[in-house]
Amino acid sequence: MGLTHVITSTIIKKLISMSRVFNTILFVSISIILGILVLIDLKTGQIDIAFKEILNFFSFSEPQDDGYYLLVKEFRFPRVLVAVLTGVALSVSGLLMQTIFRNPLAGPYVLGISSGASLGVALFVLGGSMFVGVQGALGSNISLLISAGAGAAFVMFIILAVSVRVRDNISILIIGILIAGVVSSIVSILQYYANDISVKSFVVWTMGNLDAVSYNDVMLILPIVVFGLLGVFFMSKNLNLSLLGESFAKSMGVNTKVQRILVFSFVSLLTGTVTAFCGPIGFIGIAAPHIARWIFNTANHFVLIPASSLIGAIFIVSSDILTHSITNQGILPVNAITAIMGAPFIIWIVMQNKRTVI
Amino acid sequence: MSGLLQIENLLIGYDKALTNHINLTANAGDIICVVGRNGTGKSTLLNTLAGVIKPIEGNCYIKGKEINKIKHTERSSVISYVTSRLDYLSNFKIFDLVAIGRSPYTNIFDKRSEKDIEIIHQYLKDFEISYLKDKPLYSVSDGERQRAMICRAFVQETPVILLDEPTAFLDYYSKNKLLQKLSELAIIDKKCIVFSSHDLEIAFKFVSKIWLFDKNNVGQFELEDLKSGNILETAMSFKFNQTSSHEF
Repeated sequence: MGLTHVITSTIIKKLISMSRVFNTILFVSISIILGILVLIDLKTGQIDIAFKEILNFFSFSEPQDDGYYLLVKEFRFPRVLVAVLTGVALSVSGLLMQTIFRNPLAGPYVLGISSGASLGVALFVLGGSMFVGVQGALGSNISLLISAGAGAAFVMFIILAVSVRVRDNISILIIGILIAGVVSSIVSILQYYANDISVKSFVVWTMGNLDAVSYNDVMLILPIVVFGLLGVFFMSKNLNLSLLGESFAKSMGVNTKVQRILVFSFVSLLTGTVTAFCGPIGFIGIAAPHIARWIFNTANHFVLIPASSLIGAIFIVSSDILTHSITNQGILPVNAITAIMGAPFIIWIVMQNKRTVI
Repeated sequence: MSGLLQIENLLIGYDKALTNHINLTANAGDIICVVGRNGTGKSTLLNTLAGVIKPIEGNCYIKGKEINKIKHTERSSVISYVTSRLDYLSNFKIFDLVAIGRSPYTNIFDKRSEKDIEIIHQYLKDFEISYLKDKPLYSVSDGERQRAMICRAFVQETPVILLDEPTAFLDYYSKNKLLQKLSELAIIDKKCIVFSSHDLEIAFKFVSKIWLFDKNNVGQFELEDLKSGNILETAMSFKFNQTSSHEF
């Protein structure tokens, strides 16, 4: 009896450590893939830069060619950093929404948070041109961030207010979709009345653009995303409990009301911030968590949060590489590429699993 | 004298009260079956006791503490609850699902001690679901899922365990086996187990008390009380035949 007990517990420990080793291997390989993609992304653009120059940039040695060095340092490196941060923010937001709504289709885009951010920017860019006569420029980045954040928070606030009364998560999802519809109608109306220049700059913004960012933007986005990511990670245990429904979570001691408020705040903070700089980028928020679940074969948020972040980053960095390498004339919208790249992948995963689970 | 679980002048319901004032007591070692027709409020009572919904009026106490005033995090170490809803779609492994029962005792990173892991495996064995531990939740049958959820409640190691129709999805063998296990745990580990069920013939073999929902009244009965007279027949609007009522 004693011996069998010892043997079984050793086997159990072995199995647990094996699954941990397996996860570590997966994490390391995904990180390496992301690293390689980052290097490729730094290389691609209208001017192709040799890998040697890029490695030089990271080795802090004397630049061999000042032109290349400046190009990487001033333009491409901040672009890649923002791309990574955007991927992280959107995929973590998507994961949170899927868990809290227990719906595999949820995401910041679906719930109208992205549209809210768009409304904020539209009011600022288009409304500004109508009433104040601002000539189309997107204005300073901080005011852009504030307007997008305010828009996202506005939609979040409506949904939060509704969710206090409506307890059913599916109903909230439906309401979110309806709000997104109303918001995009308002944006259309604004576009109709605004002047040409501001409409153009708004439309360019909606297509998603990572090229216009600078280190100042990075310094704004980075702390917010890191803060959001850490905050969310500390909620992992309760998020795991919430996967089995709100009543269950409640009976397990989760303060579901507080949790909902926290999740909504983090989602609007993360989504609002990156949307302000890169435009409303869809799809990653839904796709990355599903890919993470599929690769790691788990529902555990302690694994899924870092995994979705890395996969979201890989997703958008590869999209960025494609936008810069498909055509020589200018840049394609990131938005279009994320959908074209991701949709077939998701369809394939859904067909593999036969059923979509959260 | 107050019991481990004390219900005083409780009115349950979502908007309007489903029953008259309820007064009930349960002690350690009790295994209680909640009986009544559909829609009389059995699940609502369990939901209220679990703190998932608030009572309209009155209070319930555990160890003298009012349930709704116990901190969220603390409540899960005194009451565990298994709902009857089974619409969970998740790729949680059964092991991880059962392991959730240890979460009231783990830190913010859900780090489980060796003792936690041992407890989980012990109960997996007790409920005969060790063979399921690596299967994802969505791939197992309703009955297996139900057993895993019940196993999780015991892993939680709370003095009070509430189960809403634990036998609903089980086959005849498993119903018997489960209730036998429940009564063992109630007696040996001094747990207070309250469960609702429609499988009266089996349930009454193992229970110590019955909480009967009759129209708007909820009363506490010993098995002996129900043997004589037609209290149960009236409450359930059903005439039980002689052979099955024999078994009570």
